[in-house]
Amino acid sequence: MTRGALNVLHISESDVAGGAGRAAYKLHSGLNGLGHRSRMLVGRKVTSDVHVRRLKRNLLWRTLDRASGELLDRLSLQYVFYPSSFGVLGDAWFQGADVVQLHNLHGSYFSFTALPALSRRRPVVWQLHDQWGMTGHVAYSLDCERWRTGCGSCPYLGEYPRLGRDTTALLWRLKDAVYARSRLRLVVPSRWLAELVRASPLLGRFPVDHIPTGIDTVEFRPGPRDEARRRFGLPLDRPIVFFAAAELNERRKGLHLLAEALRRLERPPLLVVAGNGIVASGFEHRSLGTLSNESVLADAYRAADLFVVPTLADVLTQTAPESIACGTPCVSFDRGGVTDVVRHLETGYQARFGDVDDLARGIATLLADDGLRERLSGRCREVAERELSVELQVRRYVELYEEVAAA
Amino acid sequence: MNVLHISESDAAGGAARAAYKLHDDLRKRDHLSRMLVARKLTSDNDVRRLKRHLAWRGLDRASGEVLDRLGLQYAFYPSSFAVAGDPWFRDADVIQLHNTHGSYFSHSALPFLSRRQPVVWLLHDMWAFTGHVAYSYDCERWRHGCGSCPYLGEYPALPRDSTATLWRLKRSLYRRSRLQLVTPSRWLAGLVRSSPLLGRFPVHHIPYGVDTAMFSPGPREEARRRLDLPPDRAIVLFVATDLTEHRKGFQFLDEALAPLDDPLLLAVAASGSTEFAVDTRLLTVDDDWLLVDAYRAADVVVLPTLADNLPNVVIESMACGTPCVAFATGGVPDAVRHLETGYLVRPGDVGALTEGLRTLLADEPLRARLGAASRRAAVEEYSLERQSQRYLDLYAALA
Repeated sequence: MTRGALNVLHISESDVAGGAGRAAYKLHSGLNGLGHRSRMLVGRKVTSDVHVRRLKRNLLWRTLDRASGELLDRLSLQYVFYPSSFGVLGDAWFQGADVVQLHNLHGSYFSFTALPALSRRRPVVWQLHDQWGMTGHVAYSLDCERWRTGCGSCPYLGEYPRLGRDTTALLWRLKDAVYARSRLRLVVPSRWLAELVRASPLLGRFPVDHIPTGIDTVEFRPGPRDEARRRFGLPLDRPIVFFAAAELNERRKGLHLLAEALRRLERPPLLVVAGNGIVASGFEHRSLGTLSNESVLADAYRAADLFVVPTLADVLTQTAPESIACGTPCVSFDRGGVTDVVRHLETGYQARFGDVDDLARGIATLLADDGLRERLSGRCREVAERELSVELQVRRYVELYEEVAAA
Repeated sequence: MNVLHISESDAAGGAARAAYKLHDDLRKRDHLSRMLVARKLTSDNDVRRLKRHLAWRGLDRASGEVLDRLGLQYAFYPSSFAVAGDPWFRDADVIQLHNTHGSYFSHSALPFLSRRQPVVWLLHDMWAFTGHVAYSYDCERWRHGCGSCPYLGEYPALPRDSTATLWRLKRSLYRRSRLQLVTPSRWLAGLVRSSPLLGRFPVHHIPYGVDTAMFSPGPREEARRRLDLPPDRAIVLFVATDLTEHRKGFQFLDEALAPLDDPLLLAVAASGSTEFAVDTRLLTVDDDWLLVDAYRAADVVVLPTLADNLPNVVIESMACGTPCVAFATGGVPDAVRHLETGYLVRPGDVGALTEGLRTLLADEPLRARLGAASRRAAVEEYSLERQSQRYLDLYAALA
């Protein structure tokens, strides 16, 4: 079914900061590019896009939110009430929208208690970038399974977004009550997260669609390796493995496991990292700093023989599909959203979860066999063009929006 | 070593970038380094906002508004005193101050803070010893008390001439403070020693460091292709944080470049935009690697700055092996040596600027020789490693 132009309102923490913010903004611009009308309300506005506005337009809302936030945070009632989230109901952008697209709701800017009111008035699609919507508070539950049965006695109070005291059982029940009065359509970027959602007593009640996050396959495309290496002053005659994360030392990104794996190799390749943070000293590596420009980042993938993404918990890192689109095979663990795109001996190597020896074996195997790497590299590009493009993602969202808007 | 930096920002502008590089490099060398800033732009967990709570921001705002109206620039912000209670402050071995001007910190806290911890103050410009300006140009009144300021409108601008009061206020504050001063250029060190305000403190000359692995020579054609620049034209590069800042001398470019044979001006800036009569490509960079490409793509860098400490542009272009044609102002001659690592011109002499550009553009072997010498000098004198070592030696002597 094809209808006229859709009017979509996104609500997101930011328009560019962090992976979730960037993904939200790409969807927003992709929709506008297809002739739809897409607008965004954000907690932090960074771009100068006129179709993006701050959620809390004036000092009054900000002050009210601040007062409410400070008080509730002190009681560890995280994100339970921000007046401005209800103020959205009166916003002309909300009233004119056919569909409201929610992105990350955590980040001290929006309160999930507004969901019943919002979803009674407009069809609401919520894209989950992590587990927060189904846990007492954490974005990633790591090895904890308490979100399946009601939380409480949280072992990861200090994990993002951290809590001062253990109110997780209460927050979990509050989410339950809020969702019971809401009508939501969920979208997840990975199969792994889709399974968790289905298993969740909180979110399992809603329909879930799996739409992978698309990337710019024109910017991220294969190119001459040596030229890319010369750009960064990297050696032309050594194998290079590349690791990238906004915060290098965030534990779930797994840099420490990669370092350990490389230590176990007889002739370790040169490790190149991009991101903010430090690599353990006494370990040979080159740091490219924070790469904020996509054309520069694409060259970093091209310069590498392998991209290693030993993530311990990620819905779907943006980096693995970017690397695959540049024709650089990836090495990852066999768990989490990353396995949607890193396919064993097709686009890379899946090591057993948490097994450093197997990670080392995967790196060594692919580095030793130029023919294999070349075959994988060609396959990477095919997969990227067929499954990972932003155009495909936007088309799928449009289909979903048309469906919920008609319902 | 445990170092706490206090800086206006962690990324905006030359002084802030220099501060962040020092912070980051100390950390990479296994020291503990943290930063309190007024405007946080990176996602670094070792950087925090100076004014954490709404209450401090409200008080600072109130105090600032009143004092600014009276022309008592930066004379009192309550939060600057509260720094002493911050665990990062209490745990530090050394407090490293960067630019304190910029409406976020009050120098009136210096006696209080420097009694509690050793304080090293890195001067990025002249502000600390003038009535208010960051650069005094031809004015010498800072040598004996300011007042009747000829440059009230210069950054940071004042609404009325309170410069004599501000100068005396600085004097009385410094008298009760214990400070170690660092200047990135010999020029600024010389001025500090002749300042009645700051002359009493020890001054150390430590040039800025540049990441010489990142800022490095590379194939010109490839850099031009990436930036979509013509492979065969002479390219003159001009870099400024704000393209339209008068001090950086964009106003000389048209006149200096017009007599040359079909040059392309590549203007790189973080902000600001202006029209040039000469053929110009404007480039906004959001990533240092694009800046590296700009240096590699250019045949020569033009630096018509009227007043400067030690501009990042100088050491970055040298590290990339691209020679500069520059006005011999401030700390520029520290790094650019005439016909050795670049080409120096009398400040304001646009004809000589043209001549310098013409000479270099016409003589490729000369450019190559100057470029190679520049790269050598950058690696020896201006590496991050060298900078950190010099600071660590200083910190060790104090802590």
